[in-house]
Amino acid sequence: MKAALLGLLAGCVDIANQGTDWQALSAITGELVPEVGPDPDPLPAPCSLRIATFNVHFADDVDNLVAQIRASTFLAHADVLFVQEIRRYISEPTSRVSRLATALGMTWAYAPAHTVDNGGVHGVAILSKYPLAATAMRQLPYFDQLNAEQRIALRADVMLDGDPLHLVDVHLDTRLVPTDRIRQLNPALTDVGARMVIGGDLNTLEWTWVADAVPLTGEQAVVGQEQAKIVDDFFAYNQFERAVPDDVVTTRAPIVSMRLDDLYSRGLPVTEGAVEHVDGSDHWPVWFDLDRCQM
Amino acid sequence: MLIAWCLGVPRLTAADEPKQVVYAEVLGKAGEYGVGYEHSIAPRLSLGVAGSYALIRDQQLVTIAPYIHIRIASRNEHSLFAEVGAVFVHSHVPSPVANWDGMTDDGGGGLLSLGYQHTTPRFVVRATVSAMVGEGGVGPAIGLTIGVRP
Repeated sequence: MKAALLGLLAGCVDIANQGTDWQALSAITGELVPEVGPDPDPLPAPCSLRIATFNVHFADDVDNLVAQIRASTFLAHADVLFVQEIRRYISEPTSRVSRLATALGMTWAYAPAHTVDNGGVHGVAILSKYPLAATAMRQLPYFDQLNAEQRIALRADVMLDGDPLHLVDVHLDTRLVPTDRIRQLNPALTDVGARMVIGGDLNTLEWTWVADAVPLTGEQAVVGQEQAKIVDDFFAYNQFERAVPDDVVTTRAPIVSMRLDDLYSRGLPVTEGAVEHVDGSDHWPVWFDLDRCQM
Repeated sequence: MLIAWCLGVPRLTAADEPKQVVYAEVLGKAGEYGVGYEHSIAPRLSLGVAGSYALIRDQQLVTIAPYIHIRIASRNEHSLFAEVGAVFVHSHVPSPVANWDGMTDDGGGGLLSLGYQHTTPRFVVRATVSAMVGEGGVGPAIGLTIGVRP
């Protein structure tokens, strides 16, 4: 009883493991085996590089997702696309990420984070119109809480006329307190490189959580210290910049209509960016443009 | 035990509204948990303040909530009440990593609560639904309070 009470008062969550170092995708085998697509047709590298992130909520209907992306104004012209929550099932002849990337004329790197029912895996992917190299993933710190999932970061270098730009795609836990969110996020930008882009579904629900279950919505409303702002501050401290306004919404669910997804660049200036309302998921994609020619 | 003790005491009248209450609350106007004090200044009005210091996975939250407690209606030991006040929150998120220096914010806002109170000669039990307003918008809180009448 005393231990339970102390657990409630202290937050009741602990790190069950610290995650792993970066592992080359080629070294991973078994049911969580990653995928890397073939190099795309050669293209000259652009001065303005568009990068986007989109949580596709399993991508159950890949054809519809492709149609929605193609019909979009900004996402359709992404050179690099970070994807979260995309699944692969042994019952399907090809992986969803391969079908999505192929239809968009991109190559891909896909890393499953964990298994799901019916012979599936669930993970993140980087799609690119330009070749990808140095693909690797790392398991992020695992927090022992209700309905916790193993979270991962996927990295790759996009090769732009032989010049690598480091990319990292992440998908974090939902009900983390701010300190734990930083603990889970920090390894994703460790040992990557100075010039890099990181982004994904950071799941920055606004509140601090008691015992990973009860959000302190009242205190949060008073102090206004949203987790997205805390993550922004963490990235700004590490010399990253971003594009979209603080108060944009990247989810379609009314209760959590807040900024859960974002992109951050270090070493390449951001020229513009926005959230685009593209159907096909429960999230909205975020994109930004980077100016490679100022460097 | 508390319930049995409550059932065994004589019924109260509205005139028995407590002059002073010292209480502890969970998930109320003072956050995760808090303590408070109330002093009656008129038959239906009390002034109160609740506060807390909470450490949630290293995040430090200090909350102070001064307020006016208004008894809206009562019958025997049951009453409905409202509370109107201010809430001040200091939040410090220390850095858990070497490559960051953490973040600190202070905020002030308003509080409006509606609640039910059960009163015995020694104890006060309350359930409260609150809305807090500040720079982060509007946030609900549902709190439980147990107080004593010194």
